[in-house]
Amino acid sequence: MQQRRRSDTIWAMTERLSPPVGWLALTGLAVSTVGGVVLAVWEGAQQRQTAAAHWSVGLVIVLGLAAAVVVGRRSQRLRSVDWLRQAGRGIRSLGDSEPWRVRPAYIAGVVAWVMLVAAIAAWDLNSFAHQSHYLPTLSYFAGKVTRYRWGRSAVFAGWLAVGAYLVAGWRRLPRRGTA
Amino acid sequence: MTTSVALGVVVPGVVVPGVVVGAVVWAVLAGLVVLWLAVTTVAGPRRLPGLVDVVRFFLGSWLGRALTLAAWGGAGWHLFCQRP
Repeated sequence: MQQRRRSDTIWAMTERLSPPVGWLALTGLAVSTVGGVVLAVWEGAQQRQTAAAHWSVGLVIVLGLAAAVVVGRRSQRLRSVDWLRQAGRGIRSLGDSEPWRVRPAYIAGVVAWVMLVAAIAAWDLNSFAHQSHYLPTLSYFAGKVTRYRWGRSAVFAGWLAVGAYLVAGWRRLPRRGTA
Repeated sequence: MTTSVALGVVVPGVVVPGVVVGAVVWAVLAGLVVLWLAVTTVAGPRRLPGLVDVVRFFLGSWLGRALTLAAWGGAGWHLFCQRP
């Protein structure tokens, strides 16, 4: 576990790349971080219905998707077909007694995650469907924060950080000298 | 005392003035999420799957990554372009 955590740090990741690529990656990370902070501060001053908000958020989404394709070229851990098969095997194994006997806590943990996410999604859908003052949705609570300039900036910065991890995180790194 | 309709059933409402029944449910769900995150963090990834393990499962392939990115983009558009 400790070894896995150490190997995930940005320093460990750049060490595994050849030196020029490692420095490029670090420089890119620094520039993206500063750019992201500036963008989040600017975004905080925008209103949801303005063209500037629409264009900036839309552009971030499109650039994020494009970056995922560029960064992720030949660095995905599993093929989609194998991933689907693995997921299917996992779902089927929930009905067997063997996994429950071998790793009962872990399997119960997976079931707990599914139930928790399903409960949140179901309650949000129920609240949205009724459109009642007594049943606020998740985005209603988010709107309580994003209506203020710094609240909008902070949530936008968090959204950018999550997006950056979804684009670049958990990749299969190239070996030294092959980057 | 208020009432509200949830899942087609009249739910007797709320004890705290100014707090609607839906907000109470959200508070309970938020408490469960925080509790579960704490439990999975203390137990460690070998015993219980944590949030990072769940996210990494989806990032393991192009299809899973595309699904999470689509959800991320949709959430961002809704939050910053549609909500107040």
